[in-house]
Amino acid sequence: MEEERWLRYDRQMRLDGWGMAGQERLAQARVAIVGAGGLGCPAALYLAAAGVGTLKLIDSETVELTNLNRQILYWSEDIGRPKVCSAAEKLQRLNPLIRIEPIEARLTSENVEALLGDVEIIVDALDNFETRLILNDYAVRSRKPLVHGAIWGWEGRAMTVLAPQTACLRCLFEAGPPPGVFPVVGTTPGLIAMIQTTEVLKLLLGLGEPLFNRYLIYDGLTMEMRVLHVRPRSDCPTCRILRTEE
Amino acid sequence: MQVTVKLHAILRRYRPAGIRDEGLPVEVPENGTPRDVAAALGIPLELIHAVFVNETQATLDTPLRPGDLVRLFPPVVGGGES
Repeated sequence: MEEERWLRYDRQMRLDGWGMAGQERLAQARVAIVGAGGLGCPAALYLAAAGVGTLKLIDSETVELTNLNRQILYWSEDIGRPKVCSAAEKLQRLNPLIRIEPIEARLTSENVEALLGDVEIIVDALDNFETRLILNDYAVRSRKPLVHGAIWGWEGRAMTVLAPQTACLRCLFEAGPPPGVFPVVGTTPGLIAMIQTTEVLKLLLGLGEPLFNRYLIYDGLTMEMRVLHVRPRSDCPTCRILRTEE
Repeated sequence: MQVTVKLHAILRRYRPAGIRDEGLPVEVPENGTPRDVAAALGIPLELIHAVFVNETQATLDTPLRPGDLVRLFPPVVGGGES
């Protein structure tokens, strides 16, 4: 069993700076994925495959037919089932060595501390701005890394927030669009989720440079990927308070 | 003076007919700002939630120089529940 464990992760452990120590670090990690949709499904698959020890999946919805072009943890027979249950089953089959915690709930300002208090990194895989702000404000307050991803059509964006040194989501966007159905090709969340997953692994292993104060934008139509420079806003309603405390 | 403009996500719909995904050349007054870019393209200001000039975060009132690259973004978008 012990040997099988190391063989499973052999190819990534060969990376400089990873090794057994890095893999043990991942095994100890507790990561939350908030939203088990187009971003959350591929992010969960790859974090599970990489051996992140505990994955908490938070989502209140059930699988619908219109999800299946991009939410790749759900198959035709899953329609009508709670997403987190269907996802947890498959992730556990992919990697029985890790712990999956499915939470069938919608994140609110009342339950955010109870749901996220015991995780060290948060993946923003949400589809609505209101909940994103709750997540952003909690991450800033608790100084936990928040790995943000967002998509529309052929375009995606990603950024990593870590208070107080980086810009937060409110430094970039003050308000969101009204909730509603938006167009999306499945590959866009797939690609952005891979960026988010890579960010999580780097943060856990202390490798490379996260997307701090850098806003990655991707356009599938032009195959353009750029990193834009952002900075904490001096009048940001969320994160400026932390900086004045420093 | 002329600047180059890239419109993101739903703002793409404000590209003039015939222009595809390359940067749009847009004429703005001397000392113009991204606000003038929005006016030239007929984009309502309330749809613009983030502005970058030469890949650095800016505002609707950042002064522009000839040849600047201006990116306009609508509000932050989806993640893909339903």
